[in-house]
Amino acid sequence: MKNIKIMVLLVLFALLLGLYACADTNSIAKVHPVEIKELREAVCSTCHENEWAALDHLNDFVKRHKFFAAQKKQACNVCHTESFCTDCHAAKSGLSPSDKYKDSPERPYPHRGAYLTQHMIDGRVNPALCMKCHGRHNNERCITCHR
Amino acid sequence: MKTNSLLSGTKSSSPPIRMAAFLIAFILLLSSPLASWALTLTGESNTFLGARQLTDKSNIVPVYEYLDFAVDKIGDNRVSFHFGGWGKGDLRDESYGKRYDADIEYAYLSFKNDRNNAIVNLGRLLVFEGVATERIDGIYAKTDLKRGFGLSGYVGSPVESVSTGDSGDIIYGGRASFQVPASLVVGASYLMETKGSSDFRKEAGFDVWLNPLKKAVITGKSSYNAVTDGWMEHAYLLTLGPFGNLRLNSDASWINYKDYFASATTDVFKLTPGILDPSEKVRTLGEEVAYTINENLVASADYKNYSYSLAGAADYYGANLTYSVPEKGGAGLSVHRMNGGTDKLRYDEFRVYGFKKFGKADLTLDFHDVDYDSVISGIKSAYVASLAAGYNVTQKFRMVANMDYSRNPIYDRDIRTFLRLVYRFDTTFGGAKGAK
Repeated sequence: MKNIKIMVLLVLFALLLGLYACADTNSIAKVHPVEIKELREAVCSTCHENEWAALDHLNDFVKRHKFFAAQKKQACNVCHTESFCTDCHAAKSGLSPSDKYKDSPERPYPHRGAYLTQHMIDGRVNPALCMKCHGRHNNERCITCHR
Repeated sequence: MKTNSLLSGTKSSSPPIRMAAFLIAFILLLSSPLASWALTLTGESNTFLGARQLTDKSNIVPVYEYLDFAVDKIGDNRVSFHFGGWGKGDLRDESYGKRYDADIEYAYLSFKNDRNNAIVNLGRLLVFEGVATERIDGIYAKTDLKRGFGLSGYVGSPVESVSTGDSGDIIYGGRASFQVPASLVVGASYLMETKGSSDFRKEAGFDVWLNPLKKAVITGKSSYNAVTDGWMEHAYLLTLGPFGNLRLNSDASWINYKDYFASATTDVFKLTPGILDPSEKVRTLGEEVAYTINENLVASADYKNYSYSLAGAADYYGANLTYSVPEKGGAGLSVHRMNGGTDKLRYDEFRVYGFKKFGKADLTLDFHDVDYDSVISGIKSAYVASLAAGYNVTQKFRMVANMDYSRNPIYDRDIRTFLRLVYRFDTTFGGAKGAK
């Protein structure tokens, strides 16, 4: 039985190697060929007509970015370093992003305003939003009160 | 005085020393005589010095250092190393129960092939693949296959900041995808986290990006909890436009608490015992209409309806106006109303901000206010006013000082100040031409 499992795994691995060898796509560029200095310049459809055009960083992009990150994170890394993600999606957060970057009020960071008060309301309205970041990690501040 | 070792704040089934050894080995590798290749080092350091008085009258003066960097072209153009982490020390009273704290957010070696989007990452990683939004100590690989198919996989130990002891030991999973360029991306993903011989988490999911018409895009995903045998979440978004200067976003989501919160380790999200009712289900429906008035000015209106199976309904709606001029500044105004079934879910929310650049200097003002219909802890209004002043000393070095003044049901008067020093670095060294 164990030998059969090993054989199946080897066959699958060989199949994957074959499929990989037969694939012939160009990798996404490691760095965007044109530097994007400001958020408002990140309107991808200015130059792209294919699926990249959907990445337009308009005001609504914050709503949509999770879907793209779950499908093709390499596309994010063309312009953003990993720390750009961890500013908000930290597994253990020291400072919240809205505290770190007071000089970027145009960015839609979470936890703006008097959030110690507001979190009681947001937590009731849609606790699933809290769960995504604080359900299994980044919860040291939570357990200070919520024991 | 309590002290914490660099990684003591995070829990992984692999000992912290393993990560430290990995980093030391990597640094030794870079500094070895054999490392004669040209390396590029890019990164950013953010140092924060804060001051604040807490409700217990303690005065905290924390210093935070956030450092991230990437080392590229390690022997090969395709190999790089990425690091991000932070450390904190309290110069006066202890804050949040720890005088010293730190975290390595990510630290991994990466191999990116020029063909087939093949990637292999090794170390402490962030994994975003379908149902997975995880941080692991382990390995991640991804590649395109033939005819638009793709495959990714990961395995490691989950990294959690604080554990109540019921997290898993090993996590693994993957995602299979298929795409038709410019029209369709679909993926099926799986995640398994085990603890001992039992399954702690077992999730499967489906994600889609669909461009059926030229000006219509559907994105979304569904997640299934195979431990509780129920759908955790469906979340979908339809984007229409642009039609001239108009864009529309419609979103819908469904969440079942019993399945969604089943794997929580933070007490407040645990269903038994907890403040969340496992029988609760919430459906949200939202609409946003954005109109670009001119290249600098965008107006939008948004509406979201929350419908609970037990707690009733709530509506959140409002409007936004944003103005921006490249290299000069910008401003924003938003007004929203929350109308819910309970007193705490009835409030008005206002925000106004502006920032302007004056040569090397810049100034930011931000005011955020929430007016509750009923009194909460003696007050009806919670607000924060922020003032920040920045100065670009050089192209690589920037200073920002900011002060917040806030009043809310917890603080009668809260003043917080921060000084932030930003240093960006970008260096090439090594190689045949010697160090630069």
